[in-house]
Amino acid sequence: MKRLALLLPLLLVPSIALAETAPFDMSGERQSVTPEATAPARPVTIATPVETPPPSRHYILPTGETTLSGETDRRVWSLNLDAATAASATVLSLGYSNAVMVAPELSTLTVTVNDQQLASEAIQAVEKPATLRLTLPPGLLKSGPNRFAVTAKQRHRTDCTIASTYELWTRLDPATSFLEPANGGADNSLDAIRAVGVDANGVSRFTILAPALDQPAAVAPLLRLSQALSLAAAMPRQAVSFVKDTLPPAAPGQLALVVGTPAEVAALLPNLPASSADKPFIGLVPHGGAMVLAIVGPDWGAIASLVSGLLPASAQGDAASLATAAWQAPDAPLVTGDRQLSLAELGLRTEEFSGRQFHADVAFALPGDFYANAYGEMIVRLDAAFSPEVRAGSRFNIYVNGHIASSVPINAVGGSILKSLPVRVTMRHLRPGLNRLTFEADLATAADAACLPGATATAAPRFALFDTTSIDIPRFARAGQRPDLAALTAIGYPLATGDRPVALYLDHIGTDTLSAAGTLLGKLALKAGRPIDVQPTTALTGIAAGPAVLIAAADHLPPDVLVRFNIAADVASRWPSGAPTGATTPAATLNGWRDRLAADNGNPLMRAVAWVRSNFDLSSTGWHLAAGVPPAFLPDPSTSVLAAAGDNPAGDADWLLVTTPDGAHLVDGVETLTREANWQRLSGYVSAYAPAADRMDSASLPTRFVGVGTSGLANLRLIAANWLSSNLLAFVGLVLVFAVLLAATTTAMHNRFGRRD
Amino acid sequence: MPLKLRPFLLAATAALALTVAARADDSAADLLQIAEATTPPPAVKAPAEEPNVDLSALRYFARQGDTERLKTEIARLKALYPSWVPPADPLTAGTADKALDAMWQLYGDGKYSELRQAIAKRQAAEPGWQVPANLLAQLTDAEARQRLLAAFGGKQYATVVEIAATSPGLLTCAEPEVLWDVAESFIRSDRGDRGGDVYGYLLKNCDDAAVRKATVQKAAGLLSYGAMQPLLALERNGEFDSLRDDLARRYVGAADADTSLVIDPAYVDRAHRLADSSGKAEDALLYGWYLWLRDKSPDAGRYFAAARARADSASASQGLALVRIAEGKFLEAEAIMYGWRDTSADAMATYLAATASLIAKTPVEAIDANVLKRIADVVLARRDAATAQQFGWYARAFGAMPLARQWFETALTFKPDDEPSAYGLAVTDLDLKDKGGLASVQAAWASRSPRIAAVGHAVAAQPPPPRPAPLPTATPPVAAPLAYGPITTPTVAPPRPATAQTPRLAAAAPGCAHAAVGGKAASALSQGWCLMELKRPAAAIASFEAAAASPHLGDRQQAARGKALAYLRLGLINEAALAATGTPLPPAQAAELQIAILGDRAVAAFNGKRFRETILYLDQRAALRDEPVDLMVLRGYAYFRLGRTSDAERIFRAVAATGNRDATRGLNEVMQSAAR
Repeated sequence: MKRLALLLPLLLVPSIALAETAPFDMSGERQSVTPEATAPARPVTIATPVETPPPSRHYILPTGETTLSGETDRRVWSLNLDAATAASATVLSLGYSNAVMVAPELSTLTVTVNDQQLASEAIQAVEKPATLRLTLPPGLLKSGPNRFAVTAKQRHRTDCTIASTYELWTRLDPATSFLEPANGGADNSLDAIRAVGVDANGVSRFTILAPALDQPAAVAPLLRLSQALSLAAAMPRQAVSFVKDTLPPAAPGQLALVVGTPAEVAALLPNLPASSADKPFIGLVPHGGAMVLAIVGPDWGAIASLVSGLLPASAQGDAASLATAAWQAPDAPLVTGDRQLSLAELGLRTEEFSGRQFHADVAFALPGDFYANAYGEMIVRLDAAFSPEVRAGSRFNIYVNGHIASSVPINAVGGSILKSLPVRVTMRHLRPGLNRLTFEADLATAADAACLPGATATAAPRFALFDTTSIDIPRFARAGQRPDLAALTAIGYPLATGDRPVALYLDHIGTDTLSAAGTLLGKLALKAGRPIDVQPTTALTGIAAGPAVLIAAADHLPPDVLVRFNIAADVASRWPSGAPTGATTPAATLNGWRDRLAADNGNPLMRAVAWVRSNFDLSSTGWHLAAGVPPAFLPDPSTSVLAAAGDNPAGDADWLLVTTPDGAHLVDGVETLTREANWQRLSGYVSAYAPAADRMDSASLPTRFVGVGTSGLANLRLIAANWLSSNLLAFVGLVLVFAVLLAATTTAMHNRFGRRD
Repeated sequence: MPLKLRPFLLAATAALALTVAARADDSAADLLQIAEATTPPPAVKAPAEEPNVDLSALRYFARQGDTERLKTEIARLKALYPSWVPPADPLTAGTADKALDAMWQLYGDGKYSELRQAIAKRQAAEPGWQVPANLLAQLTDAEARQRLLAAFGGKQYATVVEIAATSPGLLTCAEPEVLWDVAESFIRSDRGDRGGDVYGYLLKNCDDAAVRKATVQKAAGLLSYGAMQPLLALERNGEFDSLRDDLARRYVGAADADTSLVIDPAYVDRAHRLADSSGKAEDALLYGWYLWLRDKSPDAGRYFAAARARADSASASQGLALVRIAEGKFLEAEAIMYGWRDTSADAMATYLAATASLIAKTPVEAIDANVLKRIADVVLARRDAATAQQFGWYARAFGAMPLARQWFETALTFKPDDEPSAYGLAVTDLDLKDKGGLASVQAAWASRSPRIAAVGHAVAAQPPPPRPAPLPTATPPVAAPLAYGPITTPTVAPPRPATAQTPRLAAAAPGCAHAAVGGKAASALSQGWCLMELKRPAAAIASFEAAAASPHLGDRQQAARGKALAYLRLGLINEAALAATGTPLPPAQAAELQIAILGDRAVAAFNGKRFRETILYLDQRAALRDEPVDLMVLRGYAYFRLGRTSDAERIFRAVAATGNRDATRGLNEVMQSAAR
């Protein structure tokens, strides 16, 4: 600091001297010069980061900024391309930056497209982002899905500890990662939808121009259209925007549609085929210099049937998998119980590893009525090998959705080969919808303990995980529960079962509410794998009878509706309307600290209770006979959007509510909520998202079973087992009751048959 | 829960990696020590080929003060690159951007388009890379400079101004050439005030002595005297002293070109000093012209002569010729200008002015035949009516009427509307008794010139006819020849008619040839008197000179008297006086000659505006004989011109009483001037 302070005057002197003399003033001449004349004199714009990218860019990162972390990490996704783009793209640009700890000499970034390796480059973009420009061999890209994989192998420069591997990351930059096709554009409607792509932030946008969108007849087909688009494109961050008059300019990651009767769209689309006047027409037509997808029918009924034609075939029946390939290939298989999945099936390859912490992810999906989190176990049959280098104290861990579920110590000396080693994994952290299983090996070696310079450079494999490793998922109890936001959103259960039409409540019909509804329904349909048959209404009276989705600003919701969701009735006045960027208030932070300190330094009794809980794997919730209803939920001021699950007044159908503090942020709020990363974090009966802190506040309610009676006896037993596991007092009571009954019957038997000595 | 920890750690390391500010704490000393400890002795020099070692982590650890990891990283890198030498200061090690250095090199080499390409290439390869602002700004300026200089070279002054207006970075003291070009472009596109502003900016803001001097020099070359004065006022500590001589030359020259320009006398003084001391013809010339054009100072002649002596030039000769003309030294002027007459129209005008004045000069000087010949050649070649006309009068003065007629006709062919030539022709025709010729001239001119119409109708005693002054043909004012006829043998003639190129005296004197029949001296005498009768005094002089060789005193006296009278007739009073004293004359004759000479001298002095002399001659004459009326009038005018109005009035009144009109007019003038 002292040195800087001494240098400061020295630095200032020349700048003052320079500032003394202003250049000769020619501002008078400048005004007289015509703009045309100044144009050549202006410096060529060289560095404009906000420059609008040319529309020919086809961005490739589906999840926006993507971080590869640890010593080995991999992203695999499927990129849908139209034929023209696939044929004319010759260069793949991939921008990235990385942590300073990543040793460039030892770390590589490998890019493969359709299983052909394009590059394996040293990772060295510490101080400024780097861009790989990779030449695509002709014919490598094909029309339709293309499998992209980016694998980072990273080693630490100086450290050999497992903790140090958390300092390793490489971040892929979505704005500089793209294909540059010389020409693009699909030649048919379905291809155009599938190849919608993403923009530089990972958003896929469908902009639907429907001049008649506020006509009652148009609303249902339009909302069905947004679901069909979502199902066909299956991108992780999809947004639907309805407009009435003009389309925004063409941009990457955006598909524009024009929907209406010939009379409505004739002025917008002068190039429509003549036959569309009396016949339904769907196809790409030029509009304002770009191609738009036109859906034109003589009436809205015809348009609705055209829209149904857009639905992918997989959306007609029960889904076998959850569509995730667009950002996490392959699609997650939907496991309904009693199934063995090999890692190969889940997209993982046999992998050898020479570092200190190995990890690999697989994903599968569970149905919405999964009910085995309290008692069930699944078995991982592990095929793996350790080198002799690996010392005792190493561990093999399995995480479920980020929670540790199993930990196997490795004590063998001299290496070992594990063949179908059964590892029991608790199903507690499984949930309806997408689940992620992480295999992690923490490898301790003598070399790492010594950590001589360059120790991280060893290339000799220490560990191998074979893709024959399998996951045995047993038959699990299936019982729908209510209210359960996770099931409702993660897999659309039970809204999308299709047996009852779902009412859609909007406080008014407008571009904003329709855009929000289109985005939300699109997400729900994508998760459910099928469209939801909605009946739009603006009257609350019409929705009481059955399942419903409610999308409205908080101030448009009457208290009696809020009560159904156990949300504070005065939420409209206490949830500050306005900026969704609010940070957590100091009071909230203070409370957080108080809780944390209480947990750590509570009185001895509390600590004893905590010890018992943690060691016997008990939770306080299990000790309630009938859990009390928690106080009505009031969202934190920093949250900007809220989703809640509830039931209808009759108690026989699910309601889903999405609301924001005010109508102005409804579209933004829904788009934020439906981001894949946020959507997967919805849980409990209500969740509210705080964007500034990237935090999801959730609250739970005791749930009730839905439709249990229809299932078989075996299922009932499983349900009972799970229920009793999670309601220990009831179990204890039941045991006591049985004991008493046993005693009583035994006594009775004795009284009746026994000898009376 | 390690997986839950991971995001937190990621965020933490990211924050660390993005930390740019250096922690300048005490650990810096440790770092340097470590670097020194791990640096091999200087004897082991790095090999020529430096491995491309990634030093970013080294810098990062150094900034963080993480000495452990710094050491480990150095060790690791040394293991990887055995020839690598750790940097002395890891904080700044390897920050050099080689690609950027290459770009600066391109900039330094002036390869701007290649630099643009390099930048575009790098931006394509590294989308996040930003051109350093100073490089971009300097490149933009350099390109603008290039275009500006090119535009200036192509004389596209409006473009220069446009480029400059959009490139303020160029308009500083660091770019004096650009500013000079901008200034010149302003001046050349008629915005001299803005040009002056640019020079003023340079002189106000820039400190480089050479730039300041060059600015003044450039400005002086482009700006007027008036526009330069505010700029010269910006002088600091006499820095422009060395330029003053040049400025003096420039402004005296400007004052020469524009006589209405008033310049600081300091410049004139300096020019004067230069003319005296520098030894350069140009300096003498500049000052000479200044003197001449400003106040016709006779000093100018000295400087012109000096200039000619140093290096003869058209300008110097012309100046000197003008001075000589003004002094009445026409022959000298003619000789000076003859060699330079073809250098410019001005020079020719000066030459012709000199010749016209020479030939028209009164009293006539004897002109060498060769000089006359060459003058005539030039006059004919240049078709100069004025000198041709004077030749006509000149010929008339010698009685060579046919020759005079030729010259007048020639003058009229050069300038058909030249009334004096026509008048000369008319009177010559009259003298030649060529009624037809006179009639045709009068027919052509009577309507325009009353005096031509009057020729031959008025009283016969009109000779010599009043001779008009030659027209002012030269741009510089030329002294007007006096009003009496020329003398000297015209040895040249215009080419038309082809005969009688050089008329001999005898042949040209019809009617006197018979007189030459008697004795040699006597015949010469009688021929002289005959020629005098014929009003050819110049020819008569030759005859009297021949007679002067007579052994008889009476003949010699007669010859001397005749010669004196002939000279008097020609207006050559001094020669007349000389001739009169050459031979003792009888007192009566001598007095008569003296009276005639004194009268003529008085008239000549009056015409030369030497009024005191006039009075003196008249007084001398009056001592010998009573003053006639016309000389009294002359005396009256002389008094009047000398301001002695009462004397003038007295004389005019006395003469006017005799009914003399000239006296009455003189009296009127005196009264009017007294009334004023």
